[in-house]
Formats: sequence, C-alpha cells, structure tokens
Amino acid sequence: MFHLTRVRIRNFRGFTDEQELKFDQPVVLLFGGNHHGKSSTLNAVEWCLFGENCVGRKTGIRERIGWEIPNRYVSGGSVVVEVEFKGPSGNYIITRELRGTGRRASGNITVQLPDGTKLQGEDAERQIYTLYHSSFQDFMTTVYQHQEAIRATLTQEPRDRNDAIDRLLGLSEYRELVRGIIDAKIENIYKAMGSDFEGFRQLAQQSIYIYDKEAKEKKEKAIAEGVEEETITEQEALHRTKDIGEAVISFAQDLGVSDLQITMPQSFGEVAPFREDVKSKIDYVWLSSPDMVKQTALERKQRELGSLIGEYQDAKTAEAGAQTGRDEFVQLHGDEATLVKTAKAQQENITEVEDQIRKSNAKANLVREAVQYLEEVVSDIDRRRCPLCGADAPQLLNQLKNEWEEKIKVEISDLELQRNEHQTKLRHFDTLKGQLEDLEGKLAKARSSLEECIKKVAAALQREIGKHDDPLALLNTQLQKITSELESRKKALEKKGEKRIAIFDQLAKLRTIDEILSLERKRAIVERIWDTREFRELDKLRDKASQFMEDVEAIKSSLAAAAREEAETKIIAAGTSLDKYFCRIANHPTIRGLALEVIEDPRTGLNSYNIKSNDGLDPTPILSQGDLNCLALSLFFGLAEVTAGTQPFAFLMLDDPTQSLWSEMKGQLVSVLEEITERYELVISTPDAEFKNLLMTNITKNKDVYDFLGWTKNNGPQIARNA
Amino acid sequence: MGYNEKVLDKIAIMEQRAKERKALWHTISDSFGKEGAEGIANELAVEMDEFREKFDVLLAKLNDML
Repeated sequence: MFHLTRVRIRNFRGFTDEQELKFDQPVVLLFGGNHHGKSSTLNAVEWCLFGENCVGRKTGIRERIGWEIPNRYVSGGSVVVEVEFKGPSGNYIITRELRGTGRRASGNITVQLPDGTKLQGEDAERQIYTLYHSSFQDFMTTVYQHQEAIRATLTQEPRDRNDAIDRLLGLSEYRELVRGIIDAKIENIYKAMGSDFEGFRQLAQQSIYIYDKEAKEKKEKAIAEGVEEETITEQEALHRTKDIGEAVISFAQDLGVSDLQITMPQSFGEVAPFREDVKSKIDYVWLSSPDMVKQTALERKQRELGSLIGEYQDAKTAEAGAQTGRDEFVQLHGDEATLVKTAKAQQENITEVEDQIRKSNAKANLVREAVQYLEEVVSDIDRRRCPLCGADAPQLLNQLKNEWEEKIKVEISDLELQRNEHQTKLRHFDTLKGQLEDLEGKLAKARSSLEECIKKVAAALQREIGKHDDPLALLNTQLQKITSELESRKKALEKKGEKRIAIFDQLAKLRTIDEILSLERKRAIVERIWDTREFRELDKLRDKASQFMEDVEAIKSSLAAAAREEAETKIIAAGTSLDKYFCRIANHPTIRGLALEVIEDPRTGLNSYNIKSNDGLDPTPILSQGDLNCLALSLFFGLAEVTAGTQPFAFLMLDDPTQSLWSEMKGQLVSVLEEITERYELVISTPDAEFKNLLMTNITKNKDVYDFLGWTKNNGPQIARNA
Repeated sequence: MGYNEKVLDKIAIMEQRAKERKALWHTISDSFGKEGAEGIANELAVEMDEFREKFDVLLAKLNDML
C-alpha cells in the first residue's frame, strides 16, 4: 500500500508561494476557518494523481464545472503540485505542472521511481495507473471523501440525492453518459418525423377523397349537360377534338377565312393545348372576318357620332350663354363706344375742375401769405396800411381773414368734391369697360369652340357644313342610319355566331371531360404513391431512424443496467458496514438499522435509491440533516472498508465531514475513526474546533496538526505546523 | 431456402445489429471522452438530424405528387 508522506504546492487554486506539508503521522489534521486553503491542499493531491480527470462536468461534482486550477491572483508562473508516496519498494514522487491558462495551457507530469528513474508524459500517466490501479471515480469513492459529496447528500429532493449517492458510489460517469443520451432528445425528432409522416398519409387519403368527389360531381354535371358517360374516356375525348377541328374549319370558311391551320392532338396530353389553340383561333377568325370588321367600324362610328352630339350640344349651349350675358350687359350699361364716350366726358370734367382748383389755389396762397405776413412780420401800426401801396386800410387783416374763411376755403372744398365725384364715375366706367371686355372674350371663345366642333362634325360626316345647316340634325340623321345598319348586320351575324357558340359549347364539354379525366388520373397517382421509389425510400429511412432509436435506447438501457448492477454490488458489499456505521454515528432512537436499495427510475432509466430502516419503512421523512450526513459518511466508510483488502492507498482524506453533525454524532464519528486508524492513515480537514478537540483527545494514534491561520491574495494560506 | 439458411440469415442480421450497436457505443463513448455529456447530446442529435433532413427532402417530393 502507498502512504502519503509529503505534498509541495505552488500556484494551485488557493496557493501562491510554494508550501510543503509533510504527512509523517498516522493522523494529520488540517484545521482552520473556511477559505483558508484546507480543501485546496486535499484537491492538490487529487489533481496531482488524476489531472484533467478530476475537472469538469464529467466528475459529477457541480463545483468542478469551470474549476480553476491556477491561482487567479498570480500572473505568470506555472502551477506545480508534487506528491510523495511511500510504497513497498521505496518512495515515488509525482510532479504535475501546468503552464498558462485556457486553450493555451500546457501540462507536464513526471514520476520519479524509487531507483531515481524519471518518467514523463504518457509514460508517467501509465506508471501511475500501473501503481495504483485506481480511477478518479475509485479514489473519490473510497479514498477522498469530498466536502461536496456530503453537501449534496443533505438534500431531501430524491433526484438530487440519487445523484449524490451515485457519486458516493463512484457511478457519476454512468449518470453523465445517460444524461448525454437523454439531452440529445432524439425521440422528439423521431416523433416529429412520425407526426409529419402521419400528416402526409392523412393528406394523401384526403386528396384521394377530394379528387374522387370532384370527379364525380363534374361527371354528374357533364351528364346533365348532355355528355354521355361512356364518352368520358381519353379515346372519346380525342374523337371529340376531331369534330371540333372540322367545325372550326367550316366556321372559318363561312367567314371567308380559307387558310386556317389547326394542329390536331395525337394523345390525350395534347388535348388541353388544343383547346386553348382552338379558342384563340376562333376568336381570331371571328374578329378578323369582313363582317365583324365592318361591324366593329360601324360601332366605332356610332360611338364617335354619339360623342360628337354631346360635344356639339355643350358648345352650342356655352355659346348661347355667352351671347346672352354680353347682350344683357350692353343693354344695361351700353356698348363699348358708349362707355368710352362717357368716360371721356368724365375725364374732361375732371380737367376743368382741376383748372378751377389751380386758379383758386393761386388766389388762396396769396391771401394766406398776406394774412401770415400781417400777423407775424408787421407791427400793429403798420398793419393798418396796405403793405403794397401804403394806403390806410385799418380792416385789411380782418377782411383778408374773412375772405379766406368764408369764400376761398368753401370754394376749394366744393371744387375738390366735384373732382372726386368725377373720378369715381370715371373708375366705374373703366370697371364696366373691363367687364365688357371679359364678356366679349368669353363670347369669342365660345364661338371658336363651336366652330371647332362644327369642323369635327364636318370631318365625321365627311361633308361641308354651311351657315344654313343644322349640325345637330345632320349628326342625328347619320347616327340613325348607322344604328339601323348595325341592327340589320347583327341579325345576319347572329346566324354565323351560332356556329361559334356551338363550337364553344363543344370546347366547354371537352374541357369538363379533360378535368374529370385529370382528376381521375391524379387520384390514381396518389393511390399508387405508396409504390413509388420515394415512398419506399422514406419508409426505409423511417426504419433506419427507428433502428437508430432502438440502438440508442438499448445502449442507454445497458448503461442503466450496468450502473444498477455496479450500485447493487457495492451496496451489497458495503451494506453491513453501512448499517453498522450509520447506527453508530447517527445513534438514531427509532432507526436501529439502515439499508440502501437501488431500483431503476422508470422515467429516466437512472439509478434511484430507496433508504429503508430495519422495520422495512421509509425513514427519509424523519431523517434530519445530521442523519443524512451520517448516511453519506457511512456509505464512504462502508465502501472504504470493503475495498480495504485491495485498496492501493493506505490513507483516507476527509474534507469537512461534520457539516451537519451535532455533538453526540461527532463523538461517535471520532470513535469510528479511531477504529479506522487501525487500517488507514487519516488526513482530516475541518473548521470544527469541537471535532478537532474530540479527535485530539480520543484518537490514540500520533497526530499532527497544521493550523491554517489565514489566507491572503498575495501569499495564499498561512500555515503553521503544530505537532 | 431451407430452415438452416433461414436461421443463419436471422443470426447474421442479429450479428450485424450488434456490430452497429457496438460502433454506436464507441461513438458515444468517444464523444463523452472528448466533450462529456454535451458531446454525446450533440453527436446523437447530429445523426438524428441527418435522418430528419433526408426524410424532409423525400416527404417534400411526395407532397409535390399529391
């Protein structure tokens, strides 16, 4: 067996600077608070032995997903863990290194044998396996009791507890493999394929039903319209095309077209194009025949004359309206000459009044200046004399003021009033003149439109129209003639058209027959779809998919069966020890015995564990967290005990085993551990001072204590050996 | 074909199935070794999707015949 003697750690998880711990006593206790590096120390031993195998989802340990190996606070520098084991033939030193992080990380492993030989890489990995014959799962199950294993067992949720017990039994790989198969959800894809296939099958049946129903309905209708049932065949349809072809030729000849070419169908597949061809040719012959051309021309003329009549009537009405408007205006206000004459007279009046205003203004200026002169410039004495002749004129200023106020001012005001009146009248006449010009313009435009319309009428009637002609009467007469001619022509064409209608009737029947036969043909194709190459391939593919499903299911069942068998084997082997350890550690007042039973979870195929007490009842409803902790420990000790004979390692590592134990249980656990020290050396990590004291007091083998006093980012764990 | 040949045919089919299952198990096991449970899920889903894609192509052709 191999004894753990030393571990040297640098930059691994919680560690930064290199530290070395020696394990040279039967019991080594790692004691200290949480996050002080105790678990990192135990993890280092595990990583040194198993490398990447103890990292990630495949371990079955949730905490190991995204587990970081290098210390995240140390930049650069490689991770180094060196573990020394003392074996039967000497000491073995295993050194695992890791450089870089992520995808650029590269590792190396070295094993130094007792004779000093050093093996590296794959040789070293092989040597480790040869020495210990132990997988990571074995190690986790029987050597290293993980903190997480107990934590996961402390759940009352059956699914999570099953997962945890699988892990305790070292069956996580089975569970992960089955989970991978379940997560593929291939049965969903297969079900969707089945559903689509069923949908297609129903659609095909529905199509057959619909084609059949439509064909029957159309057949009944065709028979009601005179088609004989026995003629609804491809052969008869081809015969019918011959009759139609001959009828079309005859119809064309009646209309004067003698060179019409029709391509006759040689097979039923050509009937549909034949129908379209005949239809377009009938239309062509019909529309291009002389009678139809003439009739079309007459109809066009009829539309033209009808339109002209409306146009002429509108133009005539517009001209009459413009004439009336102009005449009424002249009658009311006079014609243009009268308005010009009146305006001229008003202008002369204005000129005359303005002359008078000018004269009056000259005199008014003189008087106003004299008054101003006498009032402002001349003294009171001089004001009594005329400033021009010097004669005495004592009332001169008063006289001038009176003249200004009573005569000149009134006269000018009167004249200005007259001038304003004349100007208003002049503007009025100018406005009237403008209105008259507008009316004259409108009249001229209406006359011009009427003349243009008459020219169109002349062109349409192909004759001259004199002043004495009535265009409207001429148009109506011509229109009556054309209408009459059209009537007689239509009657003549109706007879020829009867042949055309008869051909169309034949074509409609042929079309119905074609549709009926097409529907029957489609139905026949769908009925034969099950015999097609595509369907056979589809069926084969479904078989392959089904076989694939069966194979995957068989593998899943095999995995589940193997996991169950292994679980059963281990439980049977560890059963007695499990019962013994549980009863001792838990010391439950009502549960005096405990057994584990594995069954298949019918939903997932995974292992499901029943816990039974010795009375055959399910004790889980009364199991406390402490009891579940005892169960996890008992299972671990049980498995360790049954493998003791073949176990390559001479030590057990327990990480925080007393998580939910109360004092009495801790005492019982120490008592069990005392027994175990007879077979194994122990490395125990705990933050529990009570547990530590119990161990120190009751374990009779030599003990060594490493106190984990603290932890810092720069220096990692602060460890003191306290022998 | 006598009973002897018929039975041998049946056995041959069973052997063939066993070979196929072994091959499938190796595929699953390799995927697990490389990428864990997710690797298995991806591998199986890809294989099933291949069936699905071929199935869809054939079904589309058959639908066109309706």
